[in-house]
Amino acid sequence: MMNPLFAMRCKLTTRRLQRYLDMDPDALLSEKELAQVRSHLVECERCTKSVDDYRRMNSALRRFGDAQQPDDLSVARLKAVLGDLNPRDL
Amino acid sequence: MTVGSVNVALIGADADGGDRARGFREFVEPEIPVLLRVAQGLTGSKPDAEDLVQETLIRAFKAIDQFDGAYARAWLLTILRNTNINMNRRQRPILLEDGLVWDSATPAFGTGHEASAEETAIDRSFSLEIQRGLKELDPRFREALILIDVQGLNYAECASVLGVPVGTVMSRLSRARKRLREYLVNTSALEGHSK
Repeated sequence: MMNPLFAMRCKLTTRRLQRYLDMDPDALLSEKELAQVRSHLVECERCTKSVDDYRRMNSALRRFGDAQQPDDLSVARLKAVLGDLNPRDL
Repeated sequence: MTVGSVNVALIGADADGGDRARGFREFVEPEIPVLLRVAQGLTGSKPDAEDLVQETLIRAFKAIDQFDGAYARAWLLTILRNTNINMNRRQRPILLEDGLVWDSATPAFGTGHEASAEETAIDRSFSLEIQRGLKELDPRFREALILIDVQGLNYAECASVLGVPVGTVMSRLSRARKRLREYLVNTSALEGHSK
């Protein structure tokens, strides 16, 4: 049976995992939280596997983003729209 | 004040009209590809996406006084979302582009080697499984996942597009990833796919 303290750390890490992976400016982990996640990952195979899986998923999803870049002509036409904006409309 | 590479004084109410138009172009132009990608997700069509972004740019220019110089992309995405609603478009869930399949010809960042036929087949199969998994998700969860993980928005930008608080974005994103992972584990897709 899993040590209750270890189980609690596992639960806490799972709850913080997405913020740990994203490092989004709106939801940064504190230094203390970051250290707790890192030290738990060193000792927990299950949480490390989760991190690994999420990173693989993220890498795959990013490649969809890379594969659907807008075409250059659309971007050029919209840049021309910006060039035509008239200060008198302000 | 400078935000990123943009001199906000140029677009302030005290600047003259020509300077404001130039300042506006300076900070909006780099955001056009992102706006187009998000617009395509919202409209599901390239011509409609271009129309939507064009209207967004015009509205943003007219509303320049309301821009405080911070979070330009989030500000533009809020206008994009409202413009889409105001254009009375049928609201559709955000989806991946149809028929989008990557394989080893579009390598992940850092993979510099030429892919073997086996790697290409594994990559193709993994990309198809991910697309199937995405279709299984609740549309509200899928939207957050596509906007952040596929289109590269941050939480605040995603919240602007969806019109929900950042906390809601985080909770939907977390559920979406968890469910997609469960789907990929159940189909053994994560076992076969290389890092």
